[in-house]
Amino acid sequence: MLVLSRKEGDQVLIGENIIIKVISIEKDCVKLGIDAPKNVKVLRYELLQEVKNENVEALQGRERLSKIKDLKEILSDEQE
Amino acid sequence: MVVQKSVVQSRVFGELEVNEENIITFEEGIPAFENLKKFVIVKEEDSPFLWLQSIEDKDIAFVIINPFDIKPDYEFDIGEEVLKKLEIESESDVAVFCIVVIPEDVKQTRVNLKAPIIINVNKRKGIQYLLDDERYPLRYYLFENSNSNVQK
Repeated sequence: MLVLSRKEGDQVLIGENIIIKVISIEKDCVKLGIDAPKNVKVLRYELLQEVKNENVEALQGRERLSKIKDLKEILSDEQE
Repeated sequence: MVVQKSVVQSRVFGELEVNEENIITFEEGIPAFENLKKFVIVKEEDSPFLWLQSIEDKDIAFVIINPFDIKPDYEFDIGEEVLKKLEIESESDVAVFCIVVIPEDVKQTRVNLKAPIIINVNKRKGIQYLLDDERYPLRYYLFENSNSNVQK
């Protein structure tokens, strides 16, 4: 992994057209501005991990779907 | 045109007859299941829930729901790269579903509004699209957000 020291306002160029700019530095938080072409997806890394975890968990609950149908009925009964 | 049919094994449905023309290709797979590319959507009878069943692995089937059934004002922009990947040309190409997670306490059932499944129904191409959108949670609790008075 390449490790760089950058000051507030400094920029890093990745490839030919991705620019990362250090907007501000506070106690435990660095604010970054990212300029990338539209075909490059920029995401917080942990979001992908969270989505993966949800997908794995989704599989474990599939046998419980029949219960939800009952629950839905209960809910709609009480609404009436 | 001859419609090709194949029989797919499914843990939920047993043997499932699938028309080749109903198979949806997820070129990138689905996060955590990147190796699986071919899925089919199966409807549950008398239920708002559907299934996204892998035709390559009978054990992989996600419960999905049409997000507009639970959140009518759900909306987001589809990025240009996704429009291109899925060959989406107009709104009528697009169907959107969200994955449902059903924990042991089924009252805590939640829907992933943060990463909808977007499908080009005409080209039969799909993707799970990650929205970096504050408005929509990864865990949208279905029953807490319903209009019921049920005690938690």
